[in-house]
Amino acid sequence: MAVTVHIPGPLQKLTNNQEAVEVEITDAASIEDVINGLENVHPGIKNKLVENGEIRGYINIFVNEEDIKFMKGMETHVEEGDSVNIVPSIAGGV
Amino acid sequence: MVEAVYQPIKKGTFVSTAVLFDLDDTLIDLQYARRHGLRAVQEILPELKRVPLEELELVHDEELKANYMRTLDDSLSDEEARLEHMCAICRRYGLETNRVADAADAYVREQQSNPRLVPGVEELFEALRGRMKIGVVTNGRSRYQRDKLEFFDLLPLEAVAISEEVGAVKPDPEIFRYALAELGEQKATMIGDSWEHDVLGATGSGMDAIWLNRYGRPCPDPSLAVEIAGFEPVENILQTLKTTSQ
Repeated sequence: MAVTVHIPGPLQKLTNNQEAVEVEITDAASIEDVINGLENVHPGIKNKLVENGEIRGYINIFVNEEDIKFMKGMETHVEEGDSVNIVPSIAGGV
Repeated sequence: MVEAVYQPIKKGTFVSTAVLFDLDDTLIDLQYARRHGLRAVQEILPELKRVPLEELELVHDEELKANYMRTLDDSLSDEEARLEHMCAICRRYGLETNRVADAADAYVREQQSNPRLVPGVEELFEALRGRMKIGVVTNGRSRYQRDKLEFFDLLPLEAVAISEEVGAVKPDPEIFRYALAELGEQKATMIGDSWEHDVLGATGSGMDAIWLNRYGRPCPDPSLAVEIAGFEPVENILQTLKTTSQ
């Protein structure tokens, strides 16, 4: 079983320039499991997403377009075939 | 063999030991992200498809600037600013619609889904590190600007001057003085895309300035700053900064 994780451009240097990465999951997997699975294959990426065990404030993660902030955060359940999107909150500027 | 195409430089070079960069639309390519956001707006509001994207960008930027300072002094929340901003664009084109909130949401979603650095920035930083002191002088909220520095791997820097932290907004010389003090330098070269904030701010503080003009805007005063069209090829910027002679 696997989910597809979509990687934002600036982090693709950590995933061998891949825009999307398949991450193997087990039954009852969570976003935390997905991030750990991603880290196993692409070391360094977890630190860009997680700080002190929580998703960094400027990182939004969507499971099938639902923001995990409004679900169960790191414990949000994922299933075979789910699409996980990593989107940074980049704002501001003149 | 393909020869490198060099960007034009309109003025001579000068010697620098430290360089300060603006952040938004100089290091981080917000314009690229904004274009994606505006295309999404055109999908939600097809009436705006008749407006060329370049024109929509100009209108967008004008309205953004109108609201931006109000977000810095907290008289407008970010969410209110986004909505007001979209309403203003609709008013400009005589569009009465109940889809403004949808358009604002689509804009944010697409804008945030397309983050990238201005082409050449990574290579330029790699070339500069260890050869010159590097700093950032930026107008904006502390949290947002520091998040961007972190996310785009622009840290560590020898100086970070953010208007909300410093209590002075470019072109106020105070924020440039703050950056120089952090650098431990008397002078530095400022590189930025805003003529008013970066070039006038830096030169008014006794610094040299390089104007990043990626969109071919007319130069208000060629005697004030070196003009570049981008950071590629990096060798040309290094030549401009004369790092090779340090």
